[in-house]
Amino acid sequence: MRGKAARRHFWSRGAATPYLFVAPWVIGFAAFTLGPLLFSLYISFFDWPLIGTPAFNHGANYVTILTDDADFLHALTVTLKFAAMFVPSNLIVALLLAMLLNQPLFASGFFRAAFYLPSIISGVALVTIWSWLLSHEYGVINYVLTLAHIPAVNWLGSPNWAPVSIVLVSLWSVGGTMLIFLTGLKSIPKDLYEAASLSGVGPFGQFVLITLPLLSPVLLFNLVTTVIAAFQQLTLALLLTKGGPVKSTYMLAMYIYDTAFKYHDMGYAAAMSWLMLLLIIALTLAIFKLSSLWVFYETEVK
Amino acid sequence: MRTWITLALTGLMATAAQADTTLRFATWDSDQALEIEKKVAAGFEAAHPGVKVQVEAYGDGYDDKIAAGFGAGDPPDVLYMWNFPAYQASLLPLNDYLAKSGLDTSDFAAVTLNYATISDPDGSKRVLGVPAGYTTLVTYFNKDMFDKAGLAYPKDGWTWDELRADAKALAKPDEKVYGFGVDGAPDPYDFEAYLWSNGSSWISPDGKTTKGFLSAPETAQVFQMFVDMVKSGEGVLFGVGDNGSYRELFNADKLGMVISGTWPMPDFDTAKKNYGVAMMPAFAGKPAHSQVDMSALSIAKDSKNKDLAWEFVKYYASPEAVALRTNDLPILNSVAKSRGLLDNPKYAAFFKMLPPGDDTRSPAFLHNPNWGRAQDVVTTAIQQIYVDLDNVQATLDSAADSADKALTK
Amino acid sequence: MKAARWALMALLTLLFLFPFYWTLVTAIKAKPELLTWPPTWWPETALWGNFVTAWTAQPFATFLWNSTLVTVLSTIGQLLSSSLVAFGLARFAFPGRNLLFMVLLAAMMIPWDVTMIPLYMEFNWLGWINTLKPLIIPAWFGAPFFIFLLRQFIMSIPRELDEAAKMDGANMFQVYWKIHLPLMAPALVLVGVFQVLAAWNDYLGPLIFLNDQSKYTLTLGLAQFKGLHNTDLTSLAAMTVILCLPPLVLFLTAQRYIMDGSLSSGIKG
Repeated sequence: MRGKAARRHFWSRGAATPYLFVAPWVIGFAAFTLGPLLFSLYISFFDWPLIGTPAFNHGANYVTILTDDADFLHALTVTLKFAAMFVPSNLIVALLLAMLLNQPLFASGFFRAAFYLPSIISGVALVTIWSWLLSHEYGVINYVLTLAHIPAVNWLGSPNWAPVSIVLVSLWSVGGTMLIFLTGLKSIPKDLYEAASLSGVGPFGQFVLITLPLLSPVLLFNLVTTVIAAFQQLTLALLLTKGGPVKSTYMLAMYIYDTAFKYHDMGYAAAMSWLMLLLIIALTLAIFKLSSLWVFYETEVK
Repeated sequence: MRTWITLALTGLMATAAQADTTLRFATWDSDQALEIEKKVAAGFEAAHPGVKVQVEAYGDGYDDKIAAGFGAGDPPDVLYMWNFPAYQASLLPLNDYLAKSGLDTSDFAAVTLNYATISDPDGSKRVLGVPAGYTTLVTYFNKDMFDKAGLAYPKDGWTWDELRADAKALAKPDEKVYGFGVDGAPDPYDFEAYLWSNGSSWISPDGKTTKGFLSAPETAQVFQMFVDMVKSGEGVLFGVGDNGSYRELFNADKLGMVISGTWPMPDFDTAKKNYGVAMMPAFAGKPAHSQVDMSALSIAKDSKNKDLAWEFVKYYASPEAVALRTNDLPILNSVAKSRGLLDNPKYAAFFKMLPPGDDTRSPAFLHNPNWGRAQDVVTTAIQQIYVDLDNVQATLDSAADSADKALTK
Repeated sequence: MKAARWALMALLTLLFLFPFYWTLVTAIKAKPELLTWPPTWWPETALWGNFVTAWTAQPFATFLWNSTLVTVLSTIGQLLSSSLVAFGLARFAFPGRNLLFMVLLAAMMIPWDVTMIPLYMEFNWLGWINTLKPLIIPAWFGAPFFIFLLRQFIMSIPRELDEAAKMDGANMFQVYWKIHLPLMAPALVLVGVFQVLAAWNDYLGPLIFLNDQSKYTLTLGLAQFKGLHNTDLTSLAAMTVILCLPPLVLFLTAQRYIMDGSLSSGIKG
């Protein structure tokens, strides 16, 4: 009886309303994500050669990954180094481009479309063009460098340069992040800048005092999603360098992909995925914990 | 608006009028090769009323697709296959079908059926695929460049010393003109031909170790030769840091010779290149050997139409169907003969490179089910050698350690 | 100063337009010309007929219909659901909200490799394999990326607007529908553009869940030009150009709504 009364109370007071709003995603999550996710957790404790019967192996996958897998350690290091270059460079370039586009400018629509164009073209075509541009012997970029008497760089063929090249190529598809910044910039009232200008605050001061704080919710979003993208990066390395040369661009996502689809070791791949998932969650949590120090919301529901 | 919604719904719900039986046939081919496969499928449909062959072309997404299909228990009925060890647990053994069918297996190009056969620990052998097409490795040479340099064309039975002398005469490194293309990122499967030719291999015949094979002095000799060629400018390294296509260089008269299968032929022909084809060169005193790059048709164990699938596979190996397939070498010797390929100067070398039927060599992946992982170690070692252009033996020694570890993973 | 900015913009534009230019040039070259070195910047004779050849090489009209269906239907669902959920997360304090938000973020981070096969099994059990349903229906339940994005935008809309509407007797759904949806318009158009691109360019989903050519989307048709050993580069480039035209037109139309200050000025009032 009490349960029923409480339930009626719950509905009548409107306490159910928020749950109705979030219900679509909760249902979708339960239907299409939770099951597969739990399945992958379950299978991570098995030796499952994709084809054939899974055999329970008492967490041996996790033990091996953490204590006896030099490839995992290597892939993790490569991933962390990549993220350390990818995240700041993508955010800075996207923000700079967005700020350029936010200036009153003739034909600004054209420039916006131009900067966004590489993000529209399918990844396969993009990569084909870049491997041609970055070619060591025959690439246009090295051709220009030699004209300027700078020694040619083996962009994709040298273990030192290949990771850098992948970051450079990724900058080209920065359009999405740039657009998100741009919408954020557009919503900052112009009169704030005018007021600051009148009180003698220079452009840099305006950036620090007005732009950054008011953009911070959007910045937080872009930071989190870029970190996630860095850890999930597969296409570029797979198509541009195949993880080479000498595994210099062999990242965690690629190792997981190989383990699952080349070696057909699904249990091991699932275990690695879970470790990677936990790592990204930890990183994101840290970002959110720290975000209260720098993210400024107009109206926060505490 | 309403029409639009109706259309949308029909699109979603439509279970189009279907033939009585649909046979799913998955391939990794595209372009002309795919057209040929569709023609074969159409021929089969004509002979089997009520059957629809659904040709599913997945291009280079092939492995992802069929791995997902197998994993979820919903694979295509008939599949293109070469990596039998990786998929063996889910492929239907064809021994009984072959025996009953009366298919003349002796007409298949030598060794191709061996490459589709898995030996089990109990000594029994499972045939998991019926060969559909293949290629061996040969030397392509640029006749215009040879003529210009006043060099005689390579002859079958020639040696690496002769190739290097020609390469040296052709090369003009200052103008980015090279004699021989050294593949800097070769598929270890193809590269093993060089090792066989020098009396070595990747892995021991019992499949237990790579020590003394991957790390053998004969293996190191092969790599050292290529390293020397790159350093001296006789050869150019492609595939490392460049967009990989020796075909453009060859067509632009910047590359004199390259070793490959039938794959670049359509490109050379489209560019109307004046080229010749010779056997692979031999190491002094040892005969040249090639492996066979083969595509075969397999049937999924989970197929619900096994008998019909077999009929299709059998039809695929019939002279009628094999004659349609012109993008690589005909799998039936009789068809190769009737098309006059054995005496055709562009094709003769391929057949001379075909290993004899009693050849005991076979690719590394048939020796150990974990070769896939070990092969990635080999790939990395090869890249290391071509990045350093030095330390060949040391790199191979440490690679053999890692490869042996990968074999037991 | 102004000249310098113009020069910079021009240089950047060149940099960003180059891939598109090169794809276009590749598409209209004769095949032998693709294999020449050094490459030609403009074909000796521009073969515009290559577009027709590529289009007719496969049943692209069917693929176009399938792609359009997937893109339109998934985008409608995505816009409705993601904005609803984002509003719920941004405007209510309810038990479990923070947990839900963290789960939502975590769901963005799941590597697809290992969930794909169980998902395939589920769709197979539902009878959805070889239909367009797996590419459309999940979008009707919202996606974490978009929910997160819209939440960030809603959080910067002053609550006074909600309160004013509630004083006038509006319930929360009306606040969402009448106040927030219009205010969110720029962000919604942004989400729409992203979702259209994601659906239009999706390769892995169609590859894994579709079998029969009559169900293929454009990206799968495109991939059929790229085999294991040989690639039909001209047709690949031609179809790439055709494929990016609809999103480009959409973007050119939509960007006005994303960028128009008057639409979003209400936010900061």
